[in-house]
Amino acid sequence: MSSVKRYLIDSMVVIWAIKKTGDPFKVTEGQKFLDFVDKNGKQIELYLPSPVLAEILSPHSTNDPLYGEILSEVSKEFVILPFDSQSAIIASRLLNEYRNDTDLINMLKANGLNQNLSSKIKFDIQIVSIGIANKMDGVISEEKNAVKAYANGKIDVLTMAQVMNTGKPPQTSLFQQ
Amino acid sequence: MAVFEENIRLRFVGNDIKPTKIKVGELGAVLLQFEKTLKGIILSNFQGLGVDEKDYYLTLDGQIRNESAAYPLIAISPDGAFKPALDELNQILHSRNSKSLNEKTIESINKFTGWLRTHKCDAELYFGDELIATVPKSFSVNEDDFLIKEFSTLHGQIIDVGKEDPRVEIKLLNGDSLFFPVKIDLAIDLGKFLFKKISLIGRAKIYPDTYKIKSFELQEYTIVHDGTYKEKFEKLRGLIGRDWDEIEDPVKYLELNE
Repeated sequence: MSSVKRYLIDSMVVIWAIKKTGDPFKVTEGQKFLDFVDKNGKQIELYLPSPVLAEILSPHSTNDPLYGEILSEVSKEFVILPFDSQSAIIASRLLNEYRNDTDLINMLKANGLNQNLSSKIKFDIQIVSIGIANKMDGVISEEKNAVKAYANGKIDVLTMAQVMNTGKPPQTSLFQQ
Repeated sequence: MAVFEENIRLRFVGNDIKPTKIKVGELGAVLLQFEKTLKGIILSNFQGLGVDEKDYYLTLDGQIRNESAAYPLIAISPDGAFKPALDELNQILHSRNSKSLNEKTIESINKFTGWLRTHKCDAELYFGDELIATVPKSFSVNEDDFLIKEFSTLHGQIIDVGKEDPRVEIKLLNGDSLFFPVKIDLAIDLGKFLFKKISLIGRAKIYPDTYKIKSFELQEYTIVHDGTYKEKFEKLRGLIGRDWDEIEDPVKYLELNE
């Protein structure tokens, strides 16, 4: 059995890995994370879900004549996993579970995580569904608690810090800090 | 656990069929396919809900009538799921379409109707005394009609290219292996990229219940560069890094609050 760990990464992971300005802790953490992954010598693989591509390209001017080339270049460097029909079916089940899970909804409300439900949940559930469809080992997200809740135990959700802190015991409760 | 017993009758009619024309082994085989068909429909409807396949089965009720060939059966289940399954089978017979048809169920239906063709008879399905459906000997399900056809991108590593009629074996990210035919020119090209990360774009036919790919027709491919993630993200930074440097709070920006 392969010991390679395969993770999907969310938009904030990508952003902190390329951004040189802003929260200095996050900028440094983004670089530390890349160093950590590279030092693990191909034992960790990172994959881009296509909805994340939409977010990370969103500030870029669509008038750029090289816009198409950007997409082409990204696809040569990263494996971009699409939100396909299998992911869509998984997403529909997660949305259905979410709608019927009063405990989960109340828990999200109590933790202020159910705002902008319609768009935010659908986006995060798309990411989670792509991860499940492709049998990823987990999703690396800087919005861990929200994404973890939407994942509803179907796939592991970790922060960059948790991936780096591999010796640390895994989180056992949803809102454990 | 509750146990439901539903009375079903399977009656073969036509071609002067009668019990003495059916061998015991044949009867067992055709009843097994009938049971598999109904179970396939039931289990598809309960997919992922943790039902136990062993809880659903047919038993023979012993009162074999000597006109035509009618077999009273008792359908055992924890929830009375066989009547809806019979109704759905009737729907399949009329529309040749159902979300409950998967690879194995289609195989069972086709084996069942293959038996009918061998004996040149039709089958009538009763629930109690009510005739629910008639299965004509001419009925068969074309598996292709039930597959998802999708323009897909597959990701993985090519682990073999070869054979007289060239075909490619790729190990997909989900661990599955997939074989697909390619033209010789493409086989020569792909042979250069053994064990490299590759994205393959093409038309796929996919089983809707397991999402296993039945066939794939390659149209384009992209080789994913080797290299460290530091290098990859540095290239990405070269493309869009400046855009993000200008954004003070990326969380707010993504929430469309900035």
